[in-house]
Amino acid sequence: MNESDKLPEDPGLNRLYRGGRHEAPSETLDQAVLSEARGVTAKRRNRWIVPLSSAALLLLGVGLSLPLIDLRNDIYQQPQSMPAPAPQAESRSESDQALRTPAKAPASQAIERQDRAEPAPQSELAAPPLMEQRARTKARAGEAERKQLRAAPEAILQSTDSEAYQRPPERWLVEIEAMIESGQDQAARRSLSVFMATYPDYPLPKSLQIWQSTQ
Amino acid sequence: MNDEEQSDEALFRLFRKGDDRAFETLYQRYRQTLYLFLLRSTYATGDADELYQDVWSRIISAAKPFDGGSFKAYAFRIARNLIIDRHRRAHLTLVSDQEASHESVQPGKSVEEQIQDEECSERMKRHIGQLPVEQREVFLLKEEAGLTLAQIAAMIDAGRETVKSRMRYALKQLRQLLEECL
Repeated sequence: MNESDKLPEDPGLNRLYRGGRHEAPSETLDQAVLSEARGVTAKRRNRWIVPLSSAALLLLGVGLSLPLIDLRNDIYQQPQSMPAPAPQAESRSESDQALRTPAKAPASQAIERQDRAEPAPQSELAAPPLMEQRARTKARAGEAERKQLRAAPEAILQSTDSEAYQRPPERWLVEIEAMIESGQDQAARRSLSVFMATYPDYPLPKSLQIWQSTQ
Repeated sequence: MNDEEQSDEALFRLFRKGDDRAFETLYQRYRQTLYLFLLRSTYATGDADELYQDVWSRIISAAKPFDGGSFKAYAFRIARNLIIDRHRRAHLTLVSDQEASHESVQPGKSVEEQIQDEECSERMKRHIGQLPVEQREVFLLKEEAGLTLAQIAAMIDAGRETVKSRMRYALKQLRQLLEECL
């Protein structure tokens, strides 16, 4: 820097000026300025809060709605995974089988259907935690349903004619003969028809065959 | 690097990013010098405190950081502009060079050297306040703010020779008025 770039100076005046620099802003003034600055910096820091919280809420919303959409799809897809209704011929044969083993058939079919509807356990293991939890809940519900269906035959047994399931055929026939002897022909006829349906190959005693032919 | 070692400009940038401590460091650096600049410049009106707060408010709430240059020049430019505004609003008549030259010297009675120094300082403050505005601002921008000739010329939008001339006149008058103190 050459002389032409310098301002004129006076060392005496400069010393005198420096010696008189005692004044300073008051404590109140300092605090006013500093608190104003703190207020502005707080605002500048907080200006990110609104967009940041909005983004967080959006993410949370998406995070919550995706599994719900997934769950809804599961619910809609469940009936599709059930087996299609059997053809008429097949259902007839099933009903025939049901006549032979009336208690077992509906329950076992229901269990089989439920088993088919159950998702594969391996896919559940591979699923993320939320899906896994949901699958566990579904599995528990399925198990409860299966138990209920297994218990169903007993209920069915109890609800049908007790004559057909609680007595051996010999005793049943003796009872029918006793009904005939006591003149309860209508009751004897109904009981005999149930017996014959239950034990179609069991040979009837001659007395009953004669009585049946007269009816 | 801690705040004390940072440049003014770096501190100001940190403050704008929300760093309170950077501002406090910057504030401590310019606290007294800005205050004295305003105090000496507003000798006639005596509203340095109000202006001081205004200057910092402008610095604090600046929408954009200053483009280039130094923080020091930026801060003193704000101070100078506020002083000019204040003078305009107060319809203050600028003291002409001629009027100033007729200002009588009121010599103080010095008993001890320390007391004399204090008196001389007080007289100097008074005489600085009585300088023409153009000379006073050049003198204070140099003595208080420590700005260079180029910075002052850029700030007041005047040629370098004009600035030097104003400074020469200011020094000459002060020397004459404070002869017995020097």
